[in-house]
Amino acid sequence: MFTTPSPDDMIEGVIAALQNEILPFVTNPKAQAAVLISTAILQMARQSMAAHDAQVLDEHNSMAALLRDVAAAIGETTGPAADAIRQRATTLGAAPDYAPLPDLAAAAAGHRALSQGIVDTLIDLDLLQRSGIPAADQALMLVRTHLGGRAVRDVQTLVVGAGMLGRG
Amino acid sequence: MNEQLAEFLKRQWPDADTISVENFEPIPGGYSRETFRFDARVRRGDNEEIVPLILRRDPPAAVSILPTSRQTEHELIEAVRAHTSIPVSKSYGYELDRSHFGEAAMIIERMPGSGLTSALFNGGADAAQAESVCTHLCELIAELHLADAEKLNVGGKLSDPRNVGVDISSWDRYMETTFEYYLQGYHWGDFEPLPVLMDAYLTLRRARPRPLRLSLVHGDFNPVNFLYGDGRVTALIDWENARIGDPREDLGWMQAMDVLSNTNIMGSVTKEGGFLGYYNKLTGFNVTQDEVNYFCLFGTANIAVPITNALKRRFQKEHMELTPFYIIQPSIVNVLNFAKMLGYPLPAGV
Repeated sequence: MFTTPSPDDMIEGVIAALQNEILPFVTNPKAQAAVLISTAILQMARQSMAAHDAQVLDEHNSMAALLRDVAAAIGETTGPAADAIRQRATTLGAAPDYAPLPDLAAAAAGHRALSQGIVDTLIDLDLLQRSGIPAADQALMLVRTHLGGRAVRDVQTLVVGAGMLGRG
Repeated sequence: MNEQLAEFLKRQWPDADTISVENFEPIPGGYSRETFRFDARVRRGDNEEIVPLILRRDPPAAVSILPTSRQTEHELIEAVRAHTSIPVSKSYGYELDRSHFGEAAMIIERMPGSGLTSALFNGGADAAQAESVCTHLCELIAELHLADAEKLNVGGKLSDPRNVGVDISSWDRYMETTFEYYLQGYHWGDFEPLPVLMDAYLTLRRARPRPLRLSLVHGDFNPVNFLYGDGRVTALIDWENARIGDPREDLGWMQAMDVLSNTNIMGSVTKEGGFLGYYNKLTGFNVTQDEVNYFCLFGTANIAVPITNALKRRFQKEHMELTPFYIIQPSIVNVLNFAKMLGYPLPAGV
């Protein structure tokens, strides 16, 4: 997976294109409004992506705790409503907490550092191969097995459609 | 723009009484130059003719993918016209002064024929022409590779058109200095670590094939850089990446782009056992499929250097154009193609 450009970089690029490459050439007022709405929605998506997963996990854990706290707060209160609250605390409120997300920016930086380590390893293996060290061939194949799997996954994940727009 | 074009043409055709420009419109597609079609209405005495033309203009430097010279392209295609029978647009001149057309530009003849080459394949409307068009295309690239490179390399400008230290004094020096360029170029384009690209460059350097005499190569011989009609190629177009190189580079690049473009240029020739067999019969070069595979990788590397450089400039926000994000798509496919060509162990079915 590429860490650059990130999904956020791509959306930011589309927003810039809508503003700079498309909007100046749109004359229909309704279409102009649609472009502006589109940029706003894309910006909303950027902001949402930055916080979405962490906030969903955080709020999931908070809500489960809340249901348990509410049940504790009503104490020994009797009646169907109180029973329902206590019951809810033992079902929904018993949902186990999700672990918080790791720092994905740090993970991406680590990914880049490791990829650079593979580049440097390839350069070293090339030196060994040119020196006629047979073990380097075997080691290179290990690297290629790893990289091949990544290349296939990148195509499956990122490529849209067949052929290139504007190519004949 | 119409006035600037007319003014330019008046300088080229001083015998014309009046020149006016009509039907100016952009031609979509293409990623390196901006192209526009237009007609010039030219009156000389009682005679009036309509000349179909194309303006090829450089993009702004910040967003340029492949910086090349319109003057060099002009001189090359005029040399090709003079010294070969390859159909190519006449060039009516170039203007390097940016104040005229906004960027450096050239004006060329708009050749007859269809550029919708995808119609030749996959059951397209012109599928019946595919074999004869592709056979003719094979003949044209063979003619180019057999042509006297000295005559086409006007002023030596195609010896190292990117000014990156390529030395064409021998095949060995050409390959060695090109590898130096690739390895240096890796760092101009490493918007992030690209290990498959590095592996490709190093492997190319380790596993070079037998020497072959250098010739003028088109440099972007691919399934969309020709026009056709009535079963023939009517023009080879887009010569901006032409240079002195190994002729197998054009074959390798065509093979790579045939896959990427979902076309079948090389599989559509039946003469002499296929495109490569026919090419070998015409040239006597005896190129093997393994050599084509090698130069498929070599040619892809050649274009990877400027493309990754352009991507890096965009991702570092030197400009905010959108196209580089799209170019990521074929780049990702090409990484997998590199992996296949390098013999990576891949999951079954890939």
